[in-house]
Amino acid sequence: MIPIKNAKEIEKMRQACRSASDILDRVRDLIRPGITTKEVDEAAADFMSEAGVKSAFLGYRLGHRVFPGNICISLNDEVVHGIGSQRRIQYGDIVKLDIGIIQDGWVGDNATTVPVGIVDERTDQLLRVTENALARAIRVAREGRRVGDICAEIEDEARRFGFSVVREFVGHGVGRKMHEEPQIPNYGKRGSGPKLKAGMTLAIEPMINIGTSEVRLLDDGWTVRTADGLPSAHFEHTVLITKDEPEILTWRAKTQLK
Amino acid sequence: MARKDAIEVEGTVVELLPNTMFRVELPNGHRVLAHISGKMRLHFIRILPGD
Repeated sequence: MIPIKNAKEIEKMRQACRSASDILDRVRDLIRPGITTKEVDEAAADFMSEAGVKSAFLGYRLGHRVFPGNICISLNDEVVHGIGSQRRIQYGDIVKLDIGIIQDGWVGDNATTVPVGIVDERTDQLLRVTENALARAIRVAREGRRVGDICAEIEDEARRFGFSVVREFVGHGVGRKMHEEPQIPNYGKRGSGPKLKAGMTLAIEPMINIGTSEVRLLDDGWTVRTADGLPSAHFEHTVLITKDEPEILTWRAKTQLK
Repeated sequence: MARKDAIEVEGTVVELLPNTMFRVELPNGHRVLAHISGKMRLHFIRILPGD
């Protein structure tokens, strides 16, 4: 069952997602060479308590493992679910920030990839393509279309530039819980999967690699990295399905007016 | 936070085990331990990769 949110619930989702994107914005501004990923994680926790919201990731359970970070912070060949540590961010890194919060019982989830200074050309292209894949996916996320339409847009955009998509991790419905139905893989066939309906809120999150699509889990039990050590990019928005244009609930406040 | 992908496959229950667990044979011949998902939907069994 894919939850459909009513008008009141959608308003709650808007608020939670706005907070999630505000915090992501503030955290992004901290990224610079020399800062440790732990410092970034702790700053994110401060921003969350200032805003009166909770991390949706801290304490998240997968099997018997419990996620120890406030946000996910993953560098370079790390795909997702990295944990803040004493590692220092360096010039030329790409930093994936994934921030999910709970506000008033509702979850907002978004992610971005930040280049630190000038990164190499292919990596820069990876970032642009991944963000564009997300934009293409959102464009088709409206009532009457199917989940597979979203998946296919992402896969097409990645393949067009010779990149590969991660298959083991997927986007998802989001609402009262961080992970709701449906699953939204970053690959798939147009016209397949569940039909989209107004009132669904979906976290769409392309994870795209320069090299192989294969990933490995690090010994910490969380951090996922590419099998070949080549960079991976990740962008995510929480999107409200409507009868018409989708509403990007985690769109940045600064640029929202058109 | 990305969700760990779960795969959906159809299989045949070959053995009933305690606690609404089942031994399920998949079309490729593998036998896996499965538990019931949702409300008694036997034809809709979810298995995590590695199970």
